This record gives sequence, C-alpha cells and structure tokens, in this order.
Amino acid sequence: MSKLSRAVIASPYFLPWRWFLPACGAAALLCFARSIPVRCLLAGALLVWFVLTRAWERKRARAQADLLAQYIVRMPDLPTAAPAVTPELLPIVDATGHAALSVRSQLHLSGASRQQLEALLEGMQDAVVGLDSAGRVQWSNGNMQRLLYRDAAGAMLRQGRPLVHTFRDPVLLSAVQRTLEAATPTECRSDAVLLGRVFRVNASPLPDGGAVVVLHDTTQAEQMERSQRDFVANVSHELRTPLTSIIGYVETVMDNEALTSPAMNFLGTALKNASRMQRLTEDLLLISQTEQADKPLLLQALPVRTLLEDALRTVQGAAYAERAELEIIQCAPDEVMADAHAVSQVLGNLLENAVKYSQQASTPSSLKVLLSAEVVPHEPPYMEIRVKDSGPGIALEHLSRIFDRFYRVEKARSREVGGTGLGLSIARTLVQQHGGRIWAESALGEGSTFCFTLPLAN
Amino acid sequence: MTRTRFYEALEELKEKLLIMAGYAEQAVQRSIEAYRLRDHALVHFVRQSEPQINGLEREIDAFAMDLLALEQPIAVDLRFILSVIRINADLERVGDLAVNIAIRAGELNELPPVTLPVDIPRLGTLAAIMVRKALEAFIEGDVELAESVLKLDDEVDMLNRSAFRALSSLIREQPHLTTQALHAILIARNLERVGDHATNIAEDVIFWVNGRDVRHQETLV
Repeated sequence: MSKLSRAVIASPYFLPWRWFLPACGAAALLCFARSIPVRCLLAGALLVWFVLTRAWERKRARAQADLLAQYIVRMPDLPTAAPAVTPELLPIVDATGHAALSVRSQLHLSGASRQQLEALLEGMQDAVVGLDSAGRVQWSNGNMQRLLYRDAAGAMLRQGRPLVHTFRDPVLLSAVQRTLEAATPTECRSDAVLLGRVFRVNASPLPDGGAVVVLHDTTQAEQMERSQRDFVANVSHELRTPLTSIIGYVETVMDNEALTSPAMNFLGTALKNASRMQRLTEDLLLISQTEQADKPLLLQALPVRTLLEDALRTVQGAAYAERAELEIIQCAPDEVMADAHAVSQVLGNLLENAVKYSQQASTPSSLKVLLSAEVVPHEPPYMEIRVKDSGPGIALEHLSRIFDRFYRVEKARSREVGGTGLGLSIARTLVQQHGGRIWAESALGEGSTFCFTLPLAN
Repeated sequence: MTRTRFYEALEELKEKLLIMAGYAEQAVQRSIEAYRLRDHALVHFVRQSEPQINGLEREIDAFAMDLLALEQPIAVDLRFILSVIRINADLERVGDLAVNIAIRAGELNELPPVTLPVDIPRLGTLAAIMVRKALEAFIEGDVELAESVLKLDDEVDMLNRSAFRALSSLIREQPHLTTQALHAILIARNLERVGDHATNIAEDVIFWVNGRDVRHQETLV
C-alpha cells in the first residue's frame, strides 16, 4: 500500500471506491436535469441514499470493532481502546483477532509450564544454577541461595557475572568449562565450594550453548562412609595383634615333641583357623585401604613385562609348594600407566587363586598357570593381561558374582584352600581405579582365564 | 586499545586472579583436612597444586605489567592493577604455606597418633574464612567486609600464641612427644601466616577502593 493510499484511507472524508460510479451518475443526472424540482428530487434522493449507506457502513464497522475489542479485552497486556475500523481492514482485523487468541493460549501454556518448572526447581534438594554460553550466572533455585547464605565467609550468588565470582573451586570451574566448550555432561567431586562441605557436581549442556550446574551435598554420606571404613580398618588392626600372638604361641607349643597325637591335632586345627583369621583381617584391612575414594594411585609408565615378572617372582614360592608351573607365554613390549604396587597386588591375587585352584585339576601334569599381555587395538588402545589356570573351572551362574565380597563358588572348598573371599573384590577395585575392567572367562572342566585391562602409557 | 577493551582486560585480570585464588583456597582447605583426617592422599593433592599456583602467578604478573606499560592507567584503575599485583603475590605465598602445612601433616601421619592440646582445625577454619572474606571483599570492592578481615586477624594471632604456649608446656612435660608438638607448632605458625596474607589482601582492597594505605596501622580497628 502506497503512502497516498494510506493517507486517503486514513482521511475522515474517505469514501469507498464502490460509491464512485453511483456518485458520478447522480452528479451527471443533476447536471442534465432541466427542471429545478427534478434536480431537487434527485439531489434529495442522492442525499438520502448517501446518509443511509454511510449509516449502514458505520454500523457494520462498529460491530467489527466490538468483536476486536472482545479479543483485546481478553489480552490484558494490549490497549483496551478499539481503533476505528474501516471495511477494508475487516479481514485483517478478523485474522489479527484469531492470531491474538492463538498467541494468548500459547502464552498461557508456556506460563503454566514455566510455573511447573519453577516449582520443580524450588522443590529440589540440590542447589541448581543456570549459566549462559559465556559462563555467566543467569538464574538459580532457592536452595542455591540458602546454601550460600549459610557460608560463614559471606559468599553470594552474583547474577549476570562469571561463575568464578561465586565459586572459585578449580575442580568445579574446569568441569563447567568442559561442559560449555564440548557440550557434554561432566561430573566431579568438589571440596572447596564451601568450607567443610563436599559436593557432587553435575554440569549438563543447554541447547542454547549454556549449562545447568547441579550441586548435591554429599558431606554426610562421605563422613558415614569414612567412619565405616575407619571402623573396619580399626577392627582389623586390633584383631591382628592378638592373632599374631596366638599363632606364635601355638607354633611354639607344637615344637614340643612330648605332645600326644590328639593334642597335636587340636593345636594343628587351632593354628589353621588362626592363620585363616589372620589372612581375613589382612584382606579386610587391605580392602578398606583400597576403597578410599580420595586415595590417589601413583601412576607411572611401567613396562608390562617387568610387572608380570615381578608378580611371578612373588608367587613362585607358593607355586613351587603346590607343584604348579608359572609361565609367561606372550608379552607385549609396551608400557602401561599404572601404580606398581596396585598392579602387583592384582596380579598376586589372581596368580595365588590360579595356583590354589590348579591344584584341584585332575592330572598333576596339567598344573600350569599361563600369563599373557597384549595390546588391544581399540580406540584408544589398551593392554589386556590374562591369567589362565588349569583348575576345575567356574559355572556360568557364578561368573558374574565371583568379584563380590565374600562370594565363594564352593564355600567348603574355598576354606580348604585358605581363601577369604576378598581377593577378587580387591583386584576389581584396584583395576577400576586405573580406569580398566576385570572379568573372567571359564567353563566347568576347562580351567579359567581371568583378564583385566590397563591404559597404555602413551 | 580502546577504553572498552581496557575495561574488559581489567575484568579478565580479575577473573584470572580469582581462578588462582581458588587454587590457593583449595590448597589451604585440603591441608587442614589432611591434618584432621590424617589423610596422606590429601597431602599428595596439595603438593601437586603448587606448580599450578606458581604458573598462574607468573601469568597474572605478566598480564598486569602489560596493562601498566601499554595503558598507563591512572587513579582507581592504577590502584586496581597495583592491588592485583600485590594480592597475586600474597596468594602465591598462601599456596606455599598450604604446602608446608600439608608436608607437616604428612609427617605427623607417619608418627603414632596422639592428642595434642591445640585446636588446629579451628585455627585453620578461621584462617580459611579470612582468606574467603578478603576475596569476597575484593570481588565486590567492599571496604566494610575488608575491615572485618583485619579484626579477625587478632583472633588468629591469639590462637597461635595459645597453641605455642600449650605445645611448649607439652614438650617440657612429655619430651617423647617433642616431634609431634614441633610439627603442630609449625602448622599453627603457618596458619597464622595465612591469616596475615588474608589481612594483606584486605588492606589492598581498601587501597584499591579508597586510596588509603592502611598497612601497619594497629589502631585502625
């Protein structure tokens, strides 16, 4: 529509184009009519026709304006005064009214879902904070405000400013940075957000490039876990001292040749059980130490061959006593990133088990334990270490549970060979701390193969 | 560099300093926990954080020097950059002291546990609160909060002196606990020094905001 058209339409003297021809006809008749009465009659008729038509148009426009006003009254944010509507604008008015209704219903729906989300955020036990793509704080829930309010140092959430103005914990900041840059969820443990509090932090990316950070307070849970671990460690430690004394005295008494045979048998049983209890306490102590979540591994690049050979030397004595043969059948020249002490513990536990259970093989000539280590060309590549024994094998139903604490396939047989049921559990914890995994492959009568993986040094 | 870019650079400088402050605070808190829980892993973590703090100190210093040399700021901007340079040095020292505390805690872990007549965790928490408050004052340019840090320093000094007296008596009465007591004295002394550095940070905030040099004025508060 041109400026001129707009000006004409906006003019109060505007007449619709459909009136143009009748008006011209009437004017021509007026000009050509000879007698004055005829002219007056024609002029009067034209005036009446003009007034009536104009009145009808106004009535119709008012009706449309009322309709629009009804739409507008339902929209509280819009001006309530309805504008003057001309007939040409009626379709537009109608379409606008429908659009207004549609927008209004959508606004209502989004408002309702916003309220639901707000209620959800406020009801959460965790503290939540939202960031934009530049890492600036945009919003938070009430729990976050309450959390910071309790801080003795007067920390506060600073909206519209970088997160580092509120939280300075480097672990949390680097996790959030990773989420913002890579748009992937991250998780970390943060112990410097508030004094004396520990949080599990989850950062998740948002579709607009921002992130949501959720802080879950795990202070009490960690304290309880620590108390439990300390209890196990203390009990194991306290039990070890008297047990050492009992074993020492029993061994001394058994050295006495004057003892009768029944007495010697009794003492032998006492010694065997005391020794088993000692192994159990030592394993419990070890498991409580390995399960400390914040205990770091001293990771370094180590040749896998050295690790295997060291482990073989450690178990050689036990293998000789059981007449088992230990052999490295294949070993990659690569280095692994591992804690030497932890890997030695894992290999020691697996090899001791292999030697113990190979003893139960049907033919003495098959008492062989084979070790191998090879690189698996996965992405990223890793080292897979395998310990294969020639024992009785493990049924499929037990395979998934043998790494649980105190789980034994056959309790009586396990006790006979001196197992505590903790060795594989310790091995699993240590391997998982390296970021690897451990599993067993076995079938009854075909021996077992215990495998675990370690990350490569490069 | 336009003025807008200059102010953006000042904001970046502030952010870098806060990131470094995060490392220093974390080191202090972990060293206290390492003592409290006799946790060797935390000792290891604190020792690992030192190179990071040192690297950030050099980076922030270089950034601040560039701004001074190229922009030749005046008035409040100049005071801000000078304060950042001083706070940077203080935070680096806080990190070093945290490492010292962690090493002492690690050595105490090697010895049989004994109950010492000193509340190291309380002293440590107080020192950590001082550092946090000083940094909050720096973020907001809050002079009142900065002055409250100066008041807290007296309490930390008093706790340190009472710890020294109690541990000296312990050494006289039970000489076999001398090693443990000496480690505890050094930990308390290091925490008191952490408090002193927090005080320095608070004084730098006052200098930045008001232009007043309140160092070495015992009667201020």
